[in-house]
Amino acid sequence: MVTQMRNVVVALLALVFGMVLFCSEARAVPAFARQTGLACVACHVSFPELTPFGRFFKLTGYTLSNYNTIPLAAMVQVSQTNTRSINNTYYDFARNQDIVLQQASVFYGGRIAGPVGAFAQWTYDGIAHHSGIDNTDIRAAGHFTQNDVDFIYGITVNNNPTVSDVWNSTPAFGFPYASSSVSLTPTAGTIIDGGLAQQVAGAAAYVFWQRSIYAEFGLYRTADQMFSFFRTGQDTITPGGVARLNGTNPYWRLAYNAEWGPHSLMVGTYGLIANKYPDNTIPVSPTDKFTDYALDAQYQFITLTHAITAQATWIHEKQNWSASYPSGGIGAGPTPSNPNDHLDTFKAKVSYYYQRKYGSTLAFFQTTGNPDPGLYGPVPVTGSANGLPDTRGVILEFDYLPLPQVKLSVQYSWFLKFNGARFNYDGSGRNASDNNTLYLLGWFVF
Amino acid sequence: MKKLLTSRMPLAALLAACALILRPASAWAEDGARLAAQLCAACHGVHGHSESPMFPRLNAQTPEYLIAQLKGFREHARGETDARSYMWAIASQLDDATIQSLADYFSHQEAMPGAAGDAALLANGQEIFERGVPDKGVPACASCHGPQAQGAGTFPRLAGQHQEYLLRQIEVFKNGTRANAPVMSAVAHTLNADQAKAVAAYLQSR
Repeated sequence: MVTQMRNVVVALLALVFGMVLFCSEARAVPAFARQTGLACVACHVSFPELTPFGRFFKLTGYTLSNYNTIPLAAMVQVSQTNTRSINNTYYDFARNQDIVLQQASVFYGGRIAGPVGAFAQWTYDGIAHHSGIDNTDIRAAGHFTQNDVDFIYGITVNNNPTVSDVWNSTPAFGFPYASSSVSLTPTAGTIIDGGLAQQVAGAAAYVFWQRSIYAEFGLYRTADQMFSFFRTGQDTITPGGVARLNGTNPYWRLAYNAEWGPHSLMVGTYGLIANKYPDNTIPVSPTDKFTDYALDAQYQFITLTHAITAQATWIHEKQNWSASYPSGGIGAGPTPSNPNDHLDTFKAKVSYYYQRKYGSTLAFFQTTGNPDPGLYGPVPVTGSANGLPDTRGVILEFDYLPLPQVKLSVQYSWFLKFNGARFNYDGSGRNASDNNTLYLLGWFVF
Repeated sequence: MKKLLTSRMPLAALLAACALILRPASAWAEDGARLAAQLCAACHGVHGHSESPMFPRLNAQTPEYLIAQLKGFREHARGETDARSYMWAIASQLDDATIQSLADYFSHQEAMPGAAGDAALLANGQEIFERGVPDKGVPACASCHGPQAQGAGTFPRLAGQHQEYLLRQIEVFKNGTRANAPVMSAVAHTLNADQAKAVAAYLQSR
């Protein structure tokens, strides 16, 4: 079975290489590159991180069009994960050390008509053997310029809060841009940090005034009924399968942007208030309330030869278990021990790219919160013995792009703390560092 | 799974159909000022006064030079890597009238000096600019580009231009990838790295 899979992967790799070499015109989200005729580096420091021009292109609705092309593109991620210590007694470290087709995606990218354009992704997950819609952002934009007044305005319909954002400090397109889907991940995370991805549908309006002030306000709801295609492929039947929200839930974003010389800087805030049913299959119960406030910043220094970029975000989440706490848990929902909890996530990274070809990134991540043994219980390997959600670590990544549409990465993640502790975090003798991961990735877009 | 895929098909087909049928290529009006603000400004800055040294300043550039370059990009006569990466595509949709209008617009924008640098370097650069380096066969830049580096006809304005951009141009003239100005290809070979740096620093400060 494994040999067969390897053969498939080798054949796929050969096919991808063939296509990449054959299509000399292919560039980064290559459908956009083909439509605009621009090189990857016009919009990306290194995909998916955007340059100032890339942000302009996205804000103006992906509509800049110089050529009539078929707006389709694809990507393949082939990876290998090496977890430092695997203990198969308590947990099945399936696919560890296997070369796997991690993800294969098809993109619709570009202008649809007039001021309307889209970025839509359909992904096959090679680990879960399952496919579904991925990040999708359909927008319509206008650009008003008169004398010295310049503002871009638009609306977006999308399926992941912050997917509409153009800075890479926010969660949807934040670092790490790719990571193992085989390795262990910490239990706790805020809801805005991927907790609603591809499960909601939202509409937002935005303005970018004088390239200086960006404001966006949107409302998100569960992607059901007429919006159900925004979560196609999600498990909506199993209790606990998807997040289900009650009514419309506000999302906001405010940012200050400045550009001078080769530098650009953004300082901003974003957030979300979400009323969530504890069990997605019981949409008649009371709801728990998550309130996320976040601050973020991004700095970029970009010249043709050198690029230094840094992003940071801090997210504070208040969790009000007004449904799950008094009831002791509803259906397959959480069973918190406290009426209220909180989480704080901090992420920061700095990257250096030489000629957009050789890159290195150092990143720090941390999530802390108050103890809640009801949420973070002592399960071997995946649990927390002390009921704390705390996780802390460092990521070091090296990237090499032999071609603009091929990224080869080596990524190492060190866990200084995992699910509450550095040593014996699960109560069964496992240390945070046992989850350290060496991850090798070949990322191909065409 | 099969059902899921089937239910997606009409949407995919609809999107593809929309794209193929309704999508017009950009057709820019012959309004240089509007196009400059809506598109060019994204890289070349407000009124052509770019912030990033990756992109040349276009404010107060000579119209003849702008026309020659835009046509050069459009017809692929100017082919260094950066031109291929950015301007070939952008210029591909410009007709002659639009190019003329853009040239009118940018040439009428106010000139602004760039940042100054080390005084000794600037003095050295000024010397090369005004007198050339006779024993190395470097002609005085001023003889073609004007005494104030303000440009003359198809010889571009260099005053106030980003130092990094100027150095990049000398490099691509040297390596032959920008081959649309034979005079500069010859001159670039006579300049060594220190001289190029000095003259570029001087020009940026003007």
